[in-house]
Amino acid sequence: MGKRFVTILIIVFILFSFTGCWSRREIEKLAMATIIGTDKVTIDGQDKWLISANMIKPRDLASQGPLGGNGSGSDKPTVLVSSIGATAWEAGRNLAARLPRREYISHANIFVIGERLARDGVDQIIDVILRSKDIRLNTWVLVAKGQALDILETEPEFEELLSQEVMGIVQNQPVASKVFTIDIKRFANQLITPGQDAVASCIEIFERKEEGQSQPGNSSDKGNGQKAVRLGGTAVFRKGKLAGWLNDEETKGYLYGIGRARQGIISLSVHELDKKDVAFAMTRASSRIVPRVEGDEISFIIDIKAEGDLQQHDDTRPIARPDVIKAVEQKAAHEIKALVENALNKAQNEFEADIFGFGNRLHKRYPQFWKQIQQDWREIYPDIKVTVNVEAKVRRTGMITDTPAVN
Amino acid sequence: MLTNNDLITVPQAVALIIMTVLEVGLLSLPREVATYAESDGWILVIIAWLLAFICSLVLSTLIRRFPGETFIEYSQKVIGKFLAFAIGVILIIHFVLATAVVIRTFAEVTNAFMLPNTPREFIIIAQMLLTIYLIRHGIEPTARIAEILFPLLLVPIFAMYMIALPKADFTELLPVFNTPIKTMAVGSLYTMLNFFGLEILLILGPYLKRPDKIYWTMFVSVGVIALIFLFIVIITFSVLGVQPAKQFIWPGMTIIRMITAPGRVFERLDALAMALWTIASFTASNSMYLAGALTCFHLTKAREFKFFITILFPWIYFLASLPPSIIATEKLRHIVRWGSVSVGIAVPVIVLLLSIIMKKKGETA
Repeated sequence: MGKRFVTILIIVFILFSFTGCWSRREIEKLAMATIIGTDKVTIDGQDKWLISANMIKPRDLASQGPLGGNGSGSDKPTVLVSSIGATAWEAGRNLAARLPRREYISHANIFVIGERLARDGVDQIIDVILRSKDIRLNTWVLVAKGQALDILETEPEFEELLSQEVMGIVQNQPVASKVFTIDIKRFANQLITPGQDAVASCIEIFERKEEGQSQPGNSSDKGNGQKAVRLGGTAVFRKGKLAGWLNDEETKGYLYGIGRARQGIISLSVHELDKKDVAFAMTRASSRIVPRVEGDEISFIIDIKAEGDLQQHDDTRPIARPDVIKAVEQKAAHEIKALVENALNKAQNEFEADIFGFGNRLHKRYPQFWKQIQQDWREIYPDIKVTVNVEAKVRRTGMITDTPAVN
Repeated sequence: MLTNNDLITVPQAVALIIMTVLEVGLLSLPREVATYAESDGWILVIIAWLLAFICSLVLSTLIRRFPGETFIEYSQKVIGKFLAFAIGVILIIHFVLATAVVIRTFAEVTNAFMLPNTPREFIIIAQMLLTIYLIRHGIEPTARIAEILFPLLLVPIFAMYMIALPKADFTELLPVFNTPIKTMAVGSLYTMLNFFGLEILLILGPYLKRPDKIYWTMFVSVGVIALIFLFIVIITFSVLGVQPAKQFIWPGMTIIRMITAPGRVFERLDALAMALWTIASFTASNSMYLAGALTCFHLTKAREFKFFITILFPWIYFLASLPPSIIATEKLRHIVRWGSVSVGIAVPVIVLLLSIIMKKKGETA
């Protein structure tokens, strides 16, 4: 009898200890952040963190489902919340003052860094990100021109959520090869790898005019249209501090230089000097950065190979002839070379930031030599000679050969 | 001598050894090798593989020399009763510490990734209760569990890390052979410590059904373990980058947090990964705990060993909750690993050499 009693007692105890997850977080008790912005602000002379996030309003999203019918249609599906604190996490927790649910950041896939914070140094934010168990390393990093908070305020145009919109834009970039997109893992890797400076994509606000879009890169023109976001250019960091921006064309050169260009159009002047009359649609490109060490002289060769189609010919002169195609190829190679050299020039002379990772290549190819010069790399880097060789090939001419003459 | 017909087959032995060595410590392996040798880290794993294989040769030779005898028995013959007793006590302490470290590390990882509010003590006790329930049934069921869980662990681990492969950038493995020989030697010695758990062979000896196949058993076990190590280190280096791998406490787990399973069914694999590491640490703590209890049993020549499981329980619990922080846990892990080198290599080598010099052999050999 006693033994049975003890057994039952033990079973009851075990049952109590296996009641389920202690640390559970029910989905209806969570406020899901979709896009997170971080800024530095000065309040009463003290630097504070400003954390902002777009939180999903679950009811509204659900009501747009097949069963929910049309709920409160005019409402935004997300709420923008922001708060200030002495440390990033304090600011994040301070959101609780206005959130009826616990904030949940694991599903955020866009991380926006404000310009001021980037100029102060991203090393602080990178610690916040890497130490956190919630922020995922495949989150995209974008650097805002201006405040991250303003970016989060803009309304999405295509998608329901701003994060989906930005995410879509990020994933759509390879077709143009004008934006360098990077996730947190690679960003952190760039920051802490010796002989490499970090870059990240830049996100900015532009105001839409009544008809059509404003000129790219001309974000400051004041229309009374709606605000929208665009990706454009690249934020260049030097020693983890924002040094400046590359514009779209320089970014393109940079992408060709590091072999991250996937597709994209290059406009060429083939027949006349001042008129861009041929569009070369690059379909495949690769690059190889080869370090050379002769004595104490360091030089680099960037070998770029690009393939593409003839996409547009704005002239009636014959083009589908081997010698003309050869001329197009040369022009394309020349154009790509100019793009890359332009980006190189800016990186070496204006920002003195080793965004091409030349130091890293040197380290991989000549590890012993790198050890000797690692300390002085920043002084050596701006004066290093880099030769760019480009080989371009035109593979196809589209659906027609010569341009039809219109009477 | 043996309680019942508790003999394990060759596949069971292989599974048991592999599952003993594979535990949560594997998650921090890429960080360790990256700290010692940066991008040469994977070479350290290969050298450590050779070193571990040599160790396992020594252990296997002992088993071949004294088939059917326990380590305590034959070491008594070789180095005398008193020394053998002392070594037995050291072995028990080592296995108790090892169990404590395995369980504690598991509790830390669980706390960090899955159950942040659950008291660590609760995780430790729950894990230990399960282990006790299993190992009370003896070595054969423990080995059988290892055999069953072995494919359940390995296949998903490979699949999971393979998903990360498209993100890999293999230039991260360059430059090769850039580490000074001395650093390399020290590093591979430290890396070999990750094979701790092999010393369980000292206890396993008399329970093997085919002690004549012990070399083959060890060759397969050590080979599989090393290949898993190599695989995880290379994937971590190439996907995460060598420098970030140095930063994270568990780079092996960090990778899981950046991949998305194809097909959009399971977007996040954290839960699966945690389940797998639960299995890994469960089997590791089983073997360690059982080895500790069996050593007590051999040492005291008691009638049955179950009694010792209960005796060891409070000590393991106490030691597992001793380190105040994760950093202290890692320190304790290092101590245990050095203990593993001393009892797993130094002692067997001495015993083996003495037995060869004194021409002592087991009865049936």
